[in-house]
Amino acid sequence: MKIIEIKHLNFAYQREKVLTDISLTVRSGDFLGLIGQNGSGKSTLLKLLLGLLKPKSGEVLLFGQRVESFKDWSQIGYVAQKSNFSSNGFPVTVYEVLRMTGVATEEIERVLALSSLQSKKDRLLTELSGGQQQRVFIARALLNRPKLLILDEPTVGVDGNSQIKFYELLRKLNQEEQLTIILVSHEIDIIAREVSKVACINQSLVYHGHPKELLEDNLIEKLYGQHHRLIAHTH
Amino acid sequence: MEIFAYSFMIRALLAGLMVAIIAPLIGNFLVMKRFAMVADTLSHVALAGVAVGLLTATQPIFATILLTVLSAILIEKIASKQKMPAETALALFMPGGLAVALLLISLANGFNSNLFSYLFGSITTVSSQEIYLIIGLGLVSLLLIGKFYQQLLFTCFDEEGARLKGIKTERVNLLLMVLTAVTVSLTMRVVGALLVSALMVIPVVAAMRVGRSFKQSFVYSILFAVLAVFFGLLGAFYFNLPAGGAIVLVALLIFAVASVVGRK
Repeated sequence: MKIIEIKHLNFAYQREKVLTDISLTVRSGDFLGLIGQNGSGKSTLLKLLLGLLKPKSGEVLLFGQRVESFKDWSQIGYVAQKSNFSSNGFPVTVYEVLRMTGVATEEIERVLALSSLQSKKDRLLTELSGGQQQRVFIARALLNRPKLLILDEPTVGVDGNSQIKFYELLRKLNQEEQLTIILVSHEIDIIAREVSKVACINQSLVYHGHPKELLEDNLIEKLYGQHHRLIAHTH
Repeated sequence: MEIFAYSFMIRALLAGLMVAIIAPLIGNFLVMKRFAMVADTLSHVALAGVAVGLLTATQPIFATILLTVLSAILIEKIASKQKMPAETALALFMPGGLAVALLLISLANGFNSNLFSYLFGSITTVSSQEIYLIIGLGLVSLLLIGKFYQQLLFTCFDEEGARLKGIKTERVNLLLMVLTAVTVSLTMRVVGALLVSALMVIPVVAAMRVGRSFKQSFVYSILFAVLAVFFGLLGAFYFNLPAGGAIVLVALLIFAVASVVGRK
């Protein structure tokens, strides 16, 4: 089943071209890594996927419907790079973050268990580590059982140990819950290890396929320039 | 208590307590949204409403509500369409409101004691008609906050997240702005235009120091505002002080205590 279908998508800010002729399909159960250097158009593509920007030409279909007329946003869970709350300091508990979406208590308990956050539900969000905070926002995105989870650079500023737990959770969601995931990241080595498919963006779609082949070709150079090479993380 | 022997003091307490409930309620959402300055801006616009009232010899609160609501809607439209940053929009409306007020006041033959009562508050001169209006509009505001509580909270906490969960955030923002405008107009009568934002913000930031959840912080902020109004009025009555200033100083004292207690 096609979850997302992008057809010949073009986008420009005034005269500055940002995305050129992007065509891409995401199928049910995919774990897609969307990579590219800063300014490559990753975030713009996400905004187009979520209907927050209008394309210059081309179209985006979500669950077979044009994004402009798509209404069932409960099918999609979204975790932003950095919650706008993070520096505010308002006392809000993990439970309250989930409750404000208006869902029933049983559903909140389900996602808390899924994200291993039961013991943290009465803690203040500001008392949690960066990794734990991101797990809270994943838990929120999982309310009402969405079919697609989109994460925008979710591990920026998150320590190594928390990152391990974070990717364990994503694997579990993808493999056990059959959740389709799109993970936007510039950490190419992690993407190559974790995901089942990779899409490399550099204004246009440079590569779309298995992460293994990405490492064999000279695509890293195409994306990041000649001075970049892959270094494996040890954790 | 002697204070309750006077009908004007009972009216003052009724008006003050209603405002003490609504002002921090709205203030919580504004502080969370980092938009607390809008209260200050609208209080300057409210002065233009007072000037219209003085010029036309009508009850100023009607013109005040009308002008602040219109300005609030405009500010929200400008901010949501991202024509300019929200702070810049506020910086236009704040002096704009004051400038209109000054022009109209000069047309109404200059400053008089009535104007000063709106600038610095004159809760003890609140009329019965105003009491009904404050209580009526206060109750409507409370009902609306109760009905849209989750949407208001989610939108102020994380607007993008709320929009992607299907909440019509533009409408929720508009509702918050209209409620803010009405609250500013009502609060102005209690503490004065220059001190409106104090009652909307100080109890909230004090509650943030001691609250262990949003719900707790919400309740504490109302409790602190009620205490500030009650003891402020008490101080004003027994020591012959201006009520608005006394209320705000009590609120600041509560903030200081909450900061010390909250640190432990």
